Amino acid sequence: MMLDEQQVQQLLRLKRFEQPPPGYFEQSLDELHYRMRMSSGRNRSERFSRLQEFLSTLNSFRVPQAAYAGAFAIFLVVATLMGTGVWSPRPNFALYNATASADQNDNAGIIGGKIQLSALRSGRQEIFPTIKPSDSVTPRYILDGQPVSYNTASSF
Amino acid sequence: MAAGRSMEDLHLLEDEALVSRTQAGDTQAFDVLWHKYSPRIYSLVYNMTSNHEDANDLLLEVFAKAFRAISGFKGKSSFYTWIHAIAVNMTINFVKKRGRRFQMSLDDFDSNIHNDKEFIELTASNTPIREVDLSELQQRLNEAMMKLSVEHRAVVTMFDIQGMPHAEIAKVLGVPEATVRSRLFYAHRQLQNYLEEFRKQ
Repeated sequence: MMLDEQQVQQLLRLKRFEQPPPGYFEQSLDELHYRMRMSSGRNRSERFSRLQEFLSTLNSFRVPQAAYAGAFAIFLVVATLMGTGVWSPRPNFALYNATASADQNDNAGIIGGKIQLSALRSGRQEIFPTIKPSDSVTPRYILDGQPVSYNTASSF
Repeated sequence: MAAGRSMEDLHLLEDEALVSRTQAGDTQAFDVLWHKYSPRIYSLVYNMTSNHEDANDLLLEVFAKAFRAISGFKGKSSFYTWIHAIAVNMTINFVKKRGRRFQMSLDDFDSNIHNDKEFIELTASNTPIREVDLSELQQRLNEAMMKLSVEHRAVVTMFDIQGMPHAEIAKVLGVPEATVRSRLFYAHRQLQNYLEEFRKQ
């Protein structure tokens, strides 16, 4: 026959008599105070070290070496292209043909009278942006191949 | 002397007032909560670990954690339930991390056990429990407890050793009362088997 549940419970209740040595809780209170102080000190120092870590991260930010190499390579390519005249960042107005402008304006993407960027195609297939007036029939005044005004003649 | 009187006054306060004072920065109020609950929390942790040193360390950690977290204590449960919940969770985590690597380090039985009515009844000649010496009884009881899962041990400790009601245990563990009852039933069944050797042949 097994022990019944009540007897098991009675045996378990005897464990209440297992006690730490006398004075244990008083002594442990001192240890608790110490841990509480350490804990609050640790919290402060953790906050400070987190701030330090953040600042050192900012301080130690370095541009990767590859970025310098890449930037230098891009500079070389652009300089070579510009130096040999293969590519120019500014439009070549010498190719601008005033007589062709009226014809080109029809294909320039002027929609609803709004100013559009369009490409002027020349014989050399040079492409450059230009700003065109809303009214394509407004005359243009060009000096030495450079457009100087979209104003009408009366404004001279 | 004035400090002593103030400490005595604090001992008369309810838990809610002690918690409020602690939240306001009165560490002496927290000391009173320590005096009030540290034996119970120690008992809980000790009976779940069967090791005095681990229980000592956990007890201090539980109270240190409670002190750090007390500013966030809203009083939705009693302080007693709240700190029990902290203790149970920390002990369960500790025991699971510890795994099988542990040694029992048991506290002595209080000499008052010899005057305990239940102890006298249990060791009386007309009961089915054989006569054992106390250290053997303690060893076997702790071994049997350690064979339970830590969740079952927590329930047995709170119900059988500490005498907490089912509803309070359910609040501490955050489980339905029915779960507490079923865990107890299962744990008692297991303990009946493990403690079989105490039956008189």
